[in-house]
Amino acid sequence: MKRNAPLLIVGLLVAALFLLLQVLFTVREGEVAVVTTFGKPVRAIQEAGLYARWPWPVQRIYHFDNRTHVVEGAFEETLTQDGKNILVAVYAGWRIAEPIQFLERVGSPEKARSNLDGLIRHYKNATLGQYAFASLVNVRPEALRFEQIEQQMQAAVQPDARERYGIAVEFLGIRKLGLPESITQKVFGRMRAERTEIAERYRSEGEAEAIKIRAQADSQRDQILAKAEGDAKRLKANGDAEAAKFYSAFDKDPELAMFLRKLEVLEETLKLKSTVVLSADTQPFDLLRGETALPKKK
Amino acid sequence: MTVSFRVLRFVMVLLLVAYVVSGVFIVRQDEKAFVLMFGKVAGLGAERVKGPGIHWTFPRPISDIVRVKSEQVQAVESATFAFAATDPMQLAAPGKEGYSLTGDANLMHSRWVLRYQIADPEAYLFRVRDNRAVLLRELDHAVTKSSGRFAIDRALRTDIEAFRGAVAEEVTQRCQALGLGVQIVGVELQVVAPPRAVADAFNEVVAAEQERSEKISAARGYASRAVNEAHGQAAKLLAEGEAYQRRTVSEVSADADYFNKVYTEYVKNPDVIARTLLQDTLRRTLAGVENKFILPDDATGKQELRLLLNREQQSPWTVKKPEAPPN
Repeated sequence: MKRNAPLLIVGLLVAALFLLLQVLFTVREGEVAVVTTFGKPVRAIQEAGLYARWPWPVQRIYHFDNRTHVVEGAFEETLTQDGKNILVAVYAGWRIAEPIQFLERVGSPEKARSNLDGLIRHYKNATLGQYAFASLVNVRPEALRFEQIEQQMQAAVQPDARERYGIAVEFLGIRKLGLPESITQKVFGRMRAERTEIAERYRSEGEAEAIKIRAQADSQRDQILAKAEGDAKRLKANGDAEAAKFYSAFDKDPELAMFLRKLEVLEETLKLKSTVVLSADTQPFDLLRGETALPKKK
Repeated sequence: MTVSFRVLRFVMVLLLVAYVVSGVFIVRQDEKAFVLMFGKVAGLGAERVKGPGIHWTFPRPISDIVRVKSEQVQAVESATFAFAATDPMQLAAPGKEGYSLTGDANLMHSRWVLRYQIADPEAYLFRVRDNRAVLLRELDHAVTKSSGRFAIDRALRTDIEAFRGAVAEEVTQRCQALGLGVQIVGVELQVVAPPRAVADAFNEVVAAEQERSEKISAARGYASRAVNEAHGQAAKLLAEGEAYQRRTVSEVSADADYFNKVYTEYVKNPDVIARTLLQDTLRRTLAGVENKFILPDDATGKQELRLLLNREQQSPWTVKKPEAPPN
């Protein structure tokens, strides 16, 4: 008997441990446990910790991840109010709100995903059908209803999800927008045409502006020159007018004035060492006649 | 019998000690940890989060340790709106290539990186199942929403920073509201591009804009040169005019002065004065001329030839009977 005592103690310990495991369970942080007695759900435990239970087959414990899960719908075509096809992908964050109901109606997160998917698709189509394309994308921010559409979808999905599946939809959003492939080709065509037009516009604007600047410069230049020419003419005229005053001095004896002028010209012309062959008739060389060239006395 | 019992007791004590020691755990510098005792977070308040260092708790299955990298700046990349780099002929198709819609219903590609840090480890671990999946979708959501407000020119070229800023603001706000326990450090826009099928057209716009500013700048250059030249020319004309004016006046006034002087004397004795002037001039003038041939035309028909030879002239000249000069 004594030989078996240590073995017995170990055996008893192991058995006790095993028994303990059958009547205890833990709920982890971020988990929810639903306790069913003979298949019927009796309570849900969200608080983490150690709890007591009846072993199977009396009670069975179901553990669910109680954290927020993300679900995303397919990138599908939806019709807007103004008859435009737009591709929308909606995602949502959900968590278990009513654990017991969740167990009964849904049973697993995978099922929850597919259930919610259907719900979201239904309300996505319904909501987007009430809004025009321009409320999703628009360069005028006041025309946008992006947030409103999301909120409306969430508000529509939430009560249904809660009632039917015991799920709380915590957030919902549009992940991406797109256009059907047939339309994208047209869009590219339009984009190309738009860009070409813009490029043309830039070029012609540049040309026009350049021409304008050059024309302005030419006209300015002409103005400046015209004014300067006018001013110069005036100065010359002033000079001539002033000079003319002095001419009156020659009125005293015009012939004398002429004579003096001839002398001047003669001297200037024959300054250089040159050969001169002239008739004595040529003025002022008529002076070379001598006596007869003298001015007549008045 | 007693021996085996003692051995057994020894082994059991050893096992117990080993078991207890296995409850020691180390939290590294860049980590934080939680101890879940029977699933529940152990400790109260600040005690709940275990910082770097050596700690002890009850070993499994009593306690479990959960760690999280709290110091590292982590990144979530979004290629949702990007095109695959492989096939250049591939046009945008849903599923194959991603894009976003712009405010003017055009398509645009972009690639983003969201950088974040875990600010609240407990919230990060126990509130959301897949934080990175949520972050990615929130990032994409922000891009979709912001993209739909910007015209493609602005998002692509002129207001890229405003676009990136709008996305950053939106995603930061949303993540705050969701209580993910993360701090958004930054949002990067790595690539933004028009669809490849129209990239050429977009480049053409940039080139045309360049051309426009070059043309205008060339025209301005011409304009300033032309006007400057004109000013220069104008100044020259004016200077010429002034010079003419001065010269004319001074010349004529000088002439008038001279005349007046001569006249004063001339009046006293006209004959003498005139003759003197004439002779002085003749002398001065003809001294400078090398060869002089003056052929007089006398009314009597006689040819009178007067020759004044230069002083330096050596060889004599033969006189020929000249013909009547033409009138």
